[in-house]
Amino acid sequence: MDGDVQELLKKGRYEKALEQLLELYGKKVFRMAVMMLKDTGRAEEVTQDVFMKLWQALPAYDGRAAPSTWLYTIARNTCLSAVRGESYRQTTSLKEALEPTASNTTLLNIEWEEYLSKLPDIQREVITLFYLEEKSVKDVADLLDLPEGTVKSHLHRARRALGKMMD
Amino acid sequence: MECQTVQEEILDSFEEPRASLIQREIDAHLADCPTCARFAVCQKTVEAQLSAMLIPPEMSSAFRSVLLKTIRRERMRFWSEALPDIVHFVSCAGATVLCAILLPFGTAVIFGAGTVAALLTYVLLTMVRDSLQDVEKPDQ
Repeated sequence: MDGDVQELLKKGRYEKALEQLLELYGKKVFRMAVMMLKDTGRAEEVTQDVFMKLWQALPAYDGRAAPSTWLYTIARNTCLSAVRGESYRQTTSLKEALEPTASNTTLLNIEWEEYLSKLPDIQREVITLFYLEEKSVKDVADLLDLPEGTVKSHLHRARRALGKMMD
Repeated sequence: MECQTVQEEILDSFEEPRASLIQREIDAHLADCPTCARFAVCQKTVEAQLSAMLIPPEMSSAFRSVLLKTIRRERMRFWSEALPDIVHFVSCAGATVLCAILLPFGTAVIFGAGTVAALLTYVLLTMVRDSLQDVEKPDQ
């Protein structure tokens, strides 16, 4: 998949390469933005920014890293800048962010939201992203630039901690 | 299987299903170990709750078309900004070549004068363009 994109980039077919990257990784980048910004609308704007930055940087691509690695780095940095720029952590709850139209916010979910907020940042990020990325450890590892073993270890710790909080 | 191993296997099973042989060993252990059985129930609740809560969000259907439209607009903007400069320098080069053919002066003199004229008119063009932009956007 990345190989096809690399071929297109070598041939200078940037628009086609961008379309492929959007097709392959658009959703993943968007979900990471949701996880970090906790606001689907804002996450979509930031995802647009990520791909605009990628578009502007494509002619400088030197082929040393896979295009997806490059994209994820841009995505992480753009999301971090957006988080720093606006204090979303304090203003928007995770529940509101992930299901903005759902009206069945139960007491149980609020309780779980609180449990998640008590986890260390990295564990919360890993476990949230794990579910948002449809339970793919590899995708989470790629997005956060962590080894798969580390992701699994954070997942296990987070699950154990949540289990203890439940007791 | 020891309790620690069983608990790790239970946690792993949420990432990928265990082989049937291992699953049977886990089940056998859970039947005899109330601590691990409690752990399994607790972790299943955690899994169910997180799966129900953290639903993968979808991008709006217009996302792709909006992005591609923005990119095309950006590209057009680049050309519309660069076009006056390109036209200017191409015209100056054409005029200089024409002068070199038609006028009875040395080629070096003509090309020197052509270069100076091209640069001077470019500075003039930039100044005019900047002042026009100031008129268009008085607040910025």
